[in-house]
Amino acid sequence: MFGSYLANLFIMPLPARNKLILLTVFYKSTLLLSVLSSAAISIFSIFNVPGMLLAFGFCFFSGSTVISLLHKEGYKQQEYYFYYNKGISKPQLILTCIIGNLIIGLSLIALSNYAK
Amino acid sequence: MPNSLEIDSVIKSYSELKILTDIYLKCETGDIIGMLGRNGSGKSTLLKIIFGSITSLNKSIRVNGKVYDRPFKTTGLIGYLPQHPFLLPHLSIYETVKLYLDADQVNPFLTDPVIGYLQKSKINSLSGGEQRYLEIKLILHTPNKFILLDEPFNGVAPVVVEKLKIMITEQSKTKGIILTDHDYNNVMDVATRYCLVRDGTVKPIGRSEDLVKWNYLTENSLR
Repeated sequence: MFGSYLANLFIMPLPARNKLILLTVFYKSTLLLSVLSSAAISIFSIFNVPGMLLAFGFCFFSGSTVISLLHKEGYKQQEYYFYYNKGISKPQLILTCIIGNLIIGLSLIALSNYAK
Repeated sequence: MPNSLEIDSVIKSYSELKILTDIYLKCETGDIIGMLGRNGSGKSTLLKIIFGSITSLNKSIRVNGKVYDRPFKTTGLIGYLPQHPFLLPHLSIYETVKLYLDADQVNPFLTDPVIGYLQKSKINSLSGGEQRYLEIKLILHTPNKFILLDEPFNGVAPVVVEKLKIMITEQSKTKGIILTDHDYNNVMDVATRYCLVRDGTVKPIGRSEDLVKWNYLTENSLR
């Protein structure tokens, strides 16, 4: 798991390492919907690679984040207890999703500038 | 030294409807408290308030005298089995157990005859009963001082229920356990103390006949 790799890299104490792995598990579970919803919108600019990257990146950290979190809230709310039982609260999970999508989205927007 | 969990002055209402009013409950290491009550009486709500996953108008949750606003945020305090499945369907049993338990606990846990041979299977490929068994076993084995079980026997085969009752009794040697279930007979078998949630309060139950008095059971359903 990527979270496990990151945690080993920084030689974290066990509880912090476990927490990082669990946050990564949560983030990964939101990724598919984020990617699909961003792709659905950016597909309209498929013949313009920089435009597509820009649209994808922008959607990724804005609308897609909201869609992914609303989907969790509406259909997968029970899964939050998986994380609660390990001491992770809902705001921490939501923040992880927002930060993760922001990093990826902004990176794609920056990449779109180089692709021009 | 035994640990003690005290729940005091819990008030919870949904809009105009008062669900819980002035609750007091105490659970110590070694206790298995069977919490009974009709549908909608507020049992699950009370367990969620104790765990800290929902808010209430007023509450005081104390573990060994120390007040906690949201106990689940403190590692090693309270584990909670919700009424509905909560494991992540895309993980395998092995991955789930590895995430939940200490490294030295993983292999002994997976020698279990009910789920051990399925350790590479994804959670979403398990039957409802297998998944429930895994959830209960996982929560009971977490290193928490107290465990809250919301309808643990629901959807589990009778032979597995017997295993669970042994497991709950075994774990109560080092933990305090509060459980609710509509299967009154199983609760009576495993619990060391009973209470009834009714009219927003928790009433201690000394004898099965009290359950008839409080209109939870009919005389015919007493064993």
